[in-house]
Parts: sequence; structure tokens; C-alpha cells
Amino acid sequence: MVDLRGFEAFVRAHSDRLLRLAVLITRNWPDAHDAVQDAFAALYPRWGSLPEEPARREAYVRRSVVNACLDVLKRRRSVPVAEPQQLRLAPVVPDPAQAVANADAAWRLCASLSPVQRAAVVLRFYADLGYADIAAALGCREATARSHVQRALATLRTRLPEGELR
Amino acid sequence: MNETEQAFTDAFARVDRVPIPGPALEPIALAARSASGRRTPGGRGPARLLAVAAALALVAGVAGIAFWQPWTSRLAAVPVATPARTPVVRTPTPTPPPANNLAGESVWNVVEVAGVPAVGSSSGEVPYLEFDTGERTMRLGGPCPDVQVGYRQDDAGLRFTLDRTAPGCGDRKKLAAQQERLWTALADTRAFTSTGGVLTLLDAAGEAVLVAHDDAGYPQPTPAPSGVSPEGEVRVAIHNATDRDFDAVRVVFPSGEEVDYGPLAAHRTSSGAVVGTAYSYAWLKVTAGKRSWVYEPIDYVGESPLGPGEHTYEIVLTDGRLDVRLR
Repeated sequence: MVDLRGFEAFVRAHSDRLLRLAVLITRNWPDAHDAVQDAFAALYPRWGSLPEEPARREAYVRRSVVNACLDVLKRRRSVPVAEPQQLRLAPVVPDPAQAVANADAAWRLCASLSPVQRAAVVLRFYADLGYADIAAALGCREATARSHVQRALATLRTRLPEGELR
Repeated sequence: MNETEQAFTDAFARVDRVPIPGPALEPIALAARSASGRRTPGGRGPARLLAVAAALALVAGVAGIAFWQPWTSRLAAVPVATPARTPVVRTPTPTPPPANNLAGESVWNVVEVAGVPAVGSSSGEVPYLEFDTGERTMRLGGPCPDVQVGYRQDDAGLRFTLDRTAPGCGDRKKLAAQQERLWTALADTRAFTSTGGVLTLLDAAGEAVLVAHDDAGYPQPTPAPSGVSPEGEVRVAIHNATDRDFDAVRVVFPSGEEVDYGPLAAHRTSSGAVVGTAYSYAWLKVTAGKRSWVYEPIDYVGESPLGPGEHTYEIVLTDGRLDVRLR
């Protein structure tokens, strides 16, 4: 028996956050909507069998959303990397300008990362997950998750002019 | 958090400051979609509005649904297609990728090209191969700009589709030369073996042209030198400044030594080990019971090597994160 109220409550409580996580991976809102919908629609029939503990349930759903994002990108073959205009215009921090420039560089770099690597970075620095949780979300080993993130960090350092980042 | 990490955090935080376009996700539509298979508004799914109508009809079981009903009572009519089963979240396992599986852990760190040990960048980044077995593409990444190529794998072996000359690597001569060797190795590849976390690309004669390890097998530093330190050498000890007793402490220094300091109780200091080159921090892994923590430096840019004498790395755990300080 599907826990209907539980499903409704979860969707209402977490869908915004999951959509934002998805758009950072897919880099456009329509695909983000598709991915989150795909994940929830697939999970609904077996909602009652998901882990009961909230954190584990959330992790399970998050993994489903990440997988759905990667599936959406794979189906589209040509990955849309255009920046959502809204994101570009949104302020990062009031100041300093350097932080804004660094964030811009990080955002641009994300466009060139592979979807899996981008997902790892998003899970690390947006969802604030540890490497064990990232590995669980991506279905890979912890060493691989760490490798994805560290490579992205190293690449960002090399792509910025000398001295731009300490 | 350093500035590079902060840059990603700031970039991603932008998404929290913008409204989400499109309608909010409706649980009823999602539940209905699980039966209809159609997407609801907001995405790229076809026939969006029709899908909603169809979904609602499915939920109610009849077309003329009474919309004043609480949605949960309508949802109860959704057919549950599959029996409940316990979901399995895959956890990291120590098993190596199966034999002759190109994907493996998807990332293969190159350790040797044409018999020459792989060269890393100043930040320690080495070339790697990342296969996408679905798209049949392989990304050659690492210290030089990434390049993606296609490949064919069949009973006859493995061939890469290289439709260009070797990509450059700026003015970094060693890395550029290595990039040439990598490209030649890929062009010569006709077969491969993949066992125990080691991928070997073979040419037509069956000779290895490239060897790579998966992430679990990398790095493979040389064992630490043993014996008494002569005068003038650098000796590094570890101080456990945490309240945990560590079962194992392992440090890999930038000069390649891997030192196993063994168990280290809380607030105790190990004996020192002689190393070639050390900075104020190094790659370090500690284990306590089933938990482990890793301190992984990105690079040593701007750091000065420690001079001869005794030095101590102090290990601290802050909010579950490992940090290393020079005492």
C-alpha cells in the first residue's frame, strides 16, 4: 500500500530543492523538471518500500533524481550547456568582485565537465554531501567520487589566470 | 574550505536565489504519471496538458472526476503496478572491475605509456581515460586539455577513432611529449585486457602500449625507505590531536614515499619516518574502526619544502573533516 500522505508531504517538502539540484546537473529547467518527474513517477508505486528513516529516504530519492538527470542527458545526446539567464544574473555575494569572478569561472567549467563529474561536484558543493554519500548517489566507489571532485577542483585552478585563486 | 571550493559553492548557491520557472510539482500528477507514463508541465515531455488530463482521469477511474474531492482520495485509485520490494542502495565495494570490462570504475589513471612512466602535472594530476560505454566514447583527460574520441569494441578487439592529430598541451614540453605518446598508443591500440583494476591497451603484436589503474589502485607509491635517518634528513612524525584512537595512519609524501605509521592512540605522537621531500601537509588517510578519513591536497604550489630535522603533522578532526597542521 502506497503511503499517499507521506508521498505528498515528501514531494511538497523536497521538490524545490531537488529541482534546483537537477538544474545544476542538467543546466536547464525543462530537463530538470523532466528528471525530477521521472524520478518521482518511478518511485511512487514502491514508495511504501523505501527506507523509513528520513535521511535514508531522502538519500534514496536524491540518488533516483541524479540517475534521472544522467538518463535525461544521455537521451538528449547533445548536452545543453547554455547558462540559464536567471542564474547568470543572480548575484553571488554582494561583494567582493573576485568571488563573483571565481564563481563565474566555476560555473563555466561545469559546462565542460562530463555529466557524472558535474553531478559529483554538485553533490559535493551544493548538496554538501561527503564522499561516501556522493558515491552512494552515483553508484560508484568512494575513491571514484573523490576523484571526480578533485579533478574538477584541479581543473578549475588551472583554468584561471595565475594568482586569481590562491 | 579553500577558494576553489568556495567558487563552486558560490556558483551553485545562485540557483537558490532564483525562482523555479514553471508550475510546482503536483504529487497527484506525479502519481498519475507513474501509471500513464507521461510527463506533466514544466519539462519537455510531449502533450503536457493532455497528460495531466489523462492522469487525472486515471486517478479518478472515470473521466468526469469531481475536483472538490481531496486529492488523496483520488490518488487511492491509482493502480499500483509493481509489488513493493526493498530498494537496494549500492554501497561501495572493494571488488575490482570484472575482466575485460572497459567501463570498470569509468576512470582509468594512466601509469605507463609506451613503456614510459606517466608524467603528472605540478599539482599531481595524471592523464586518465574515461569510457562511456553507452555512447562509445572515451575522454582523455588530465593535465592537458580534455579530448574525446570514439571507439569500436567487438570480438576483433578495440580501436579508437582518431580523426585528428595529437592535441597539444601548451608550452609544457614533458606533458606535450607525453600527449604525443598517448595519442600514438591510442592509434596503435588493437586489443585490451582489464583485470584486477589494471587496464592494458595492446597493439597488433600484443605488446602493451598503455597501462592504467582504476581509482582504487591509484596512487601506488613506492614503499617508504626504512632504517635510521642519517644527519640532515627530513623526519616526519604524526600527532593524533583528536579524541579517537586510530587503527591506522598512512601518509603519502610528494616525493613518493608511502609511510604506514600504524595504530596511533588519541593525543599520542608516533615515531618519525625519514622521507625525501615533505611540505607542511601531505596526502593522509586515517582509519578508526569502520570509518576512515582522507586529507587530499590539491597541490603544493607556493609551499616550501621542510628543512632537515624533526617535524610533526598534527591531525585534527573538525565537523567530521580531517585536517593536517604542521606543529
